[in-house]
This record gives sequence, structure tokens and C-alpha cells, in this order.
Amino acid sequence: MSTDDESDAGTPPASTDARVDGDDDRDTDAEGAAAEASPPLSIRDIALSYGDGDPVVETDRLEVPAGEITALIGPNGSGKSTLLKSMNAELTPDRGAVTFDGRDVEEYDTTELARKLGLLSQEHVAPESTTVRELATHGRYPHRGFFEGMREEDYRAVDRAIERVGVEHLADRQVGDLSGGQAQLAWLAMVLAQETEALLLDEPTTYLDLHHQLRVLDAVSDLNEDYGVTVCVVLHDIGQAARFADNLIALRDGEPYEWGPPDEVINEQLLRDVFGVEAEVGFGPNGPRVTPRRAIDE
Amino acid sequence: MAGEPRETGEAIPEVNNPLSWIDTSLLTVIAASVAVVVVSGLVQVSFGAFTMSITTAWASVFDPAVWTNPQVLLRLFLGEGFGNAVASALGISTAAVDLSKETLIVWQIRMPRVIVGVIVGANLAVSGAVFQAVTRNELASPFILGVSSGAGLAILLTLIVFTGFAAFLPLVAAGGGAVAFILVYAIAWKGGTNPVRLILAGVIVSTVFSSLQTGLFFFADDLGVVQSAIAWTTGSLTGVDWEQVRMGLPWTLVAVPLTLVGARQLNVLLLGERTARSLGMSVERVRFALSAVAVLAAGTAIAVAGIVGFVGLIVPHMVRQLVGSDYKRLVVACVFAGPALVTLADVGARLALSPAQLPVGIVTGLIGGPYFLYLMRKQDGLGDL
Repeated sequence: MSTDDESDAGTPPASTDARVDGDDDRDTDAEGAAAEASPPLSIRDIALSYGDGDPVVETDRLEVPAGEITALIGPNGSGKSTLLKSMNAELTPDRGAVTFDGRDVEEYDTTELARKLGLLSQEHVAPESTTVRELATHGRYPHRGFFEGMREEDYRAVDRAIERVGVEHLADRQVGDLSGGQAQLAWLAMVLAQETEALLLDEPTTYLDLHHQLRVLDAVSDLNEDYGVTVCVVLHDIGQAARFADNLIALRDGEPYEWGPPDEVINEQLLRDVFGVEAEVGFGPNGPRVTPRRAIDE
Repeated sequence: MAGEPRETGEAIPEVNNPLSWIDTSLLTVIAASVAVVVVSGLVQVSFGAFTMSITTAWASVFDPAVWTNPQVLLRLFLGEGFGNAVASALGISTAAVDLSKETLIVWQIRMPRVIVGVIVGANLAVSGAVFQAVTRNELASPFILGVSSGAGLAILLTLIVFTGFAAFLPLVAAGGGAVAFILVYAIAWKGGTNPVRLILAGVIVSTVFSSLQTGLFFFADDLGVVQSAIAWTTGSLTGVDWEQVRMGLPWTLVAVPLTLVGARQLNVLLLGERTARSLGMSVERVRFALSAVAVLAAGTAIAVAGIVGFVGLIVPHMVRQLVGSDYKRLVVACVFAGPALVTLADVGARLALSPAQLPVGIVTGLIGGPYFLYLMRKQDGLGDL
């Protein structure tokens, strides 16, 4: 709901002021757990491409609302990860901008951005002998000066992250000895130790067994509930996205097909148009339930 | 809100200790390395043209006349003039000290070889360790990446053509090494790089630079220069003097501490470019700065002893097996294990074909080649760190 109201409120090709106003509205909307909400990510009139190629993603406007969980869904190659890269200033847009807390992410100093915005990528390449605690400690990197050692608050942050993810018992184990799911939790602990106001997660549940999928998602949604951290996550499983996220952004061929709360976004039409599957959508107590039937020939 | 502590009110665990990263494996490596260096050093100073029993040699090393007169050590390490100046500035006597013949031979002629061996080993090992992290490639080392050949070429050019720059040999060598490294990276770059391409590019650049080195011999005026040039290209500690110690030590004291300070950056670099970036690192800048330090370290080693191959490859790898991949531990261990390997190899170089002496680079090459082969066979994905 909130996003739709929003888009009405803030549609005019917006001066910065109008945008800020919009954000205020949302804060009152998204009351509840997040007493002081984290900043939102806003995307305005953006075009993203790699090298000189055609734009991979083009969209007029998208919002990752403050203090809420937003899931990017869409088939392979629809531009989900590309969009995520622009939010982390990894990819400079051909035009337009992503603003975080009212400022273009490209304008942030890299360290400054890393203190406010964390990314759990799919790139997990720590040396095998790194322990889980050492890995989590790297999350404090942006908070420490070049010559600074670990301060008390850094140790605390690492402990909190390890505890929140529930890997205390693995803290002294080497990453090379962990299962894929345990390793993912260790990496999540690193990102949480960053203690950022917003989190970007790139397919955090892909290739994990069900138990660890839920562990990852639970840790993130607890964090969102307790501290109002803004979350943007790329997910492959539509049902999972619907249960987990407050908002969905469905991408098709680099353009948003639909966005809003799961029960407004997910329907049979969307599954046909975006994912190319015929499916039944039922509504349970926990939001929409998707039962895929068959793939539609193109 | 993220700035505020998320209180859990629990006690800080005992890991909250700035020296907690020092563990028994590291201490073991340090102790063993120091033992190897001391024993190799003692063996080294016992042999030479002037025959001396081992006990006499050892007695000379620990001659109280040297150790109780700091001006003697200052003069050796800093040179006659500067050493005296420092001694008087510190209020130490600058009086001449009468040393026995044995002590003079050991301290003036034989000790420099051991100390230069230590300098070379530490620099090459540290340089290799940094290159391995920067390229995220276990097979990287100054030798493999062409840095050595670039530095060697620059040194030969200085010795044969631009003789005026001889005083700045470490800087010249670092400059040549930097040029070679940039060339290798440029050749290997194709929207990113990978271990195999880097190594192939290193082979290409090394081959060309080695040819240029050999070509330079034809422009040398006299045979003496050619001979010393050949000694450079194989890497030799024969005939090194306190002058080499004075030339290499200052740069070592720059490069090694900088690497230690950079250990945390190296650790984060090992998490991959994307993660390092998301943690707020300016990846390209850090990589460039650390590579520069590694090139300086390699250049220093090469300037004082020529191209001693494979030390930068073997030492970080062996050490990693023992202390793990944490770069704080790894760099410290390299600073000790590198000298151990070089001084030990130099004992081999002196004794293998006694009384003839081999260049130490031949010995490290004989150890390093098979070790490189072993690494290649053992690794599934070639060299990905």
C-alpha cells in the first residue's frame, strides 16, 4: 500500500524537496518496529549498461522504501543484479541516479557509503584458513582508520553480528571447513558487522538447503524488525519473496513490470508475463501462495 | 541508528587483545627461522680463504670488543663517517678499537654476506607475499611476474651504460621492476585478469628482458663488468660488503613496516574485489600502493644481490601452510622465514662445490623449480588464492 500512496504523492518530476517530503510520509506509514527509520534508496530515470552495450536496465522510478524489506524478482537476465550494482555505486548509470538518504550514491566516498550500506554479494572467496570470527571482523573495515586497531565497539559489533546470525559455535572454525550454508551465514555475519543502515543482498539463498535459507532470511528480517534496516534483496523463489518481503519489484527485460506489496504484485498474469509460467496463485494467511503448473512456450 | 551501539551488554571476550593474532604456529616459525639463520650464519663465517677453526670464528662473532663498543657496530652499519657522526651525536665514544685479526675478518668481510642474505630473504619473501595477495594468485612472485627481470635489466643498464646512477641502485631496480610489472599487467589485462594469463605475461616479459640483459653484455667494455653482470643475473652473495648492507637496509626498513601496516588491506583484498569494494576499499588505489611497496622490496633485494629466484614464491607458500593466510601472521613469518631460506641456501652455495662457490641464485633455483612443479601438480585450479 505505502508505495502506491507514495507514487501519487511524489510523482511530479520531483525537486529534491518533493522527494524528501515523500520520504517523511513513508516513515509515518512504516511506523511500528522502526522507531527511527533508516534512509530509503530511490531510483530516478535510470539507464544502466555494461561498456558500450544497450541499456540492461531502464526505469523511470523505483523506490526501496525506508525500513522495509524489498525483494527484486524476475527471470534470469532481467537486470536484478545489475540494478543492485547501481545501488551500491558499483555501476555508474548512463543517465539518472540512485539516491540514498537524499544523496547520489556516486557522490559518497567509498568508505562513507560502506558505513551506511552493506552488500552481501555472491562472491565468496576468503582464504580457507580464515576463521568465521576473522571474516566477521573484516566487516569493521570501513569503521576503522588506516592505522587504527580494533576498538571495543568493533569487538562488540563483531560479537553481535555472530550472535545474530547464530554462528557462535562456528566462530573459531575455518571457512574452508564449513558447508555452503554455514559459509553463507559466516559471510552474512561479516556484512552485519558492518552495522549499516541499509543492506543489499544478492541472491542470498541460492544453492542453500532449506534450513540455511531460512536462517539467512530470519536473521535479515530480525535485523529489519529490530533496527528498521532498509533491505533490498534479489530472490529467485517467488513464494519466498512474497513471504519474506514487504514490497516486491518484478523486473522484466530490464524494466519494472510491477511493484508494490506482494499481494498486489503477485498474480497469475505476472507469472505468465514475467516468468513465462502458468501458475495458480492462492491467498493464505501469510500472503500469496504460488503453485507453478507448467512453463509456457515462447 | 547504525552508529549507535546495539547493546547486548555482554562481556568482551578475551580475543580483545591487540596481540591475540600471535599464535604458537607463528612463534614456532619465528624461533625455527632464527635458529636456522644463526646456525647458517655461524657456518658461513667459519669458512673462507683465511682458515679459521669453527670455535675461533664463533668466538670472533661474539667478541666482546665488538659488542661492548657500539661505535664499531655503528661504523660498520652506517659507514665510517656517518657512523662516527651518529656515535658522537649519541654521546658514544668514537675512539678506535683494536680488534684481533680473526674478529676483523669475520666482522668486516664475512658478516656482511650473512646480513645481506637476511635482507634479501626478508625483502623477497615479503614482496612475494604482497604480490600473491594483490593478484590473488598463489603462483605470483617478483620472479614470475617479471619484476625481477625488469629490475635486473635496469641494474645492468646502470652498471654498463648509466654508471652515474650507481648510488641509487635500489631505486633504479625498483623503477625497472615497476615498468616490467606494469607491462605484465597490461599484457594480461582483458577486462580483468587471471592467474594463468598473468604467469604467461610474466614469462613473455621476462624472456624479452632477459634477452636484453644478455644483449647488454656485448656493450660492456671490459670483462670484469661482464663477470659482475653475470653474477647479478644469477643472484650471488659472494663478495658482498658492508656497502650493500648500507644500501639495502634503509629501504628494507621502509618496505617491511609498510607491508605490516598494509596487512589488513591485504586480508580484505583476498576477499575478492567486489567484497573489498563493498567494505569501502578503494581497490585500485590500495592495489597500486601495495604493488609499489612490493616492487620496492624486490628492487632492494635485487640491487644488493642480483636476481635470486624463487624465494618470493616459495617462502610465502611454505609459511602459509604453517601459519595460515592471515596476512599479519604471514608477513611477520615471511620476514623471518625468508632470511632462513636464503642464508641456508647460501651455505649450500658455499659448501656444495667447495672450494668453488656457486651463486646463491643457482641453489634457490634448484630448490624452487621442483617446488613450483609440486605446486602446479597439487593445485586443481592453477594458483587461485
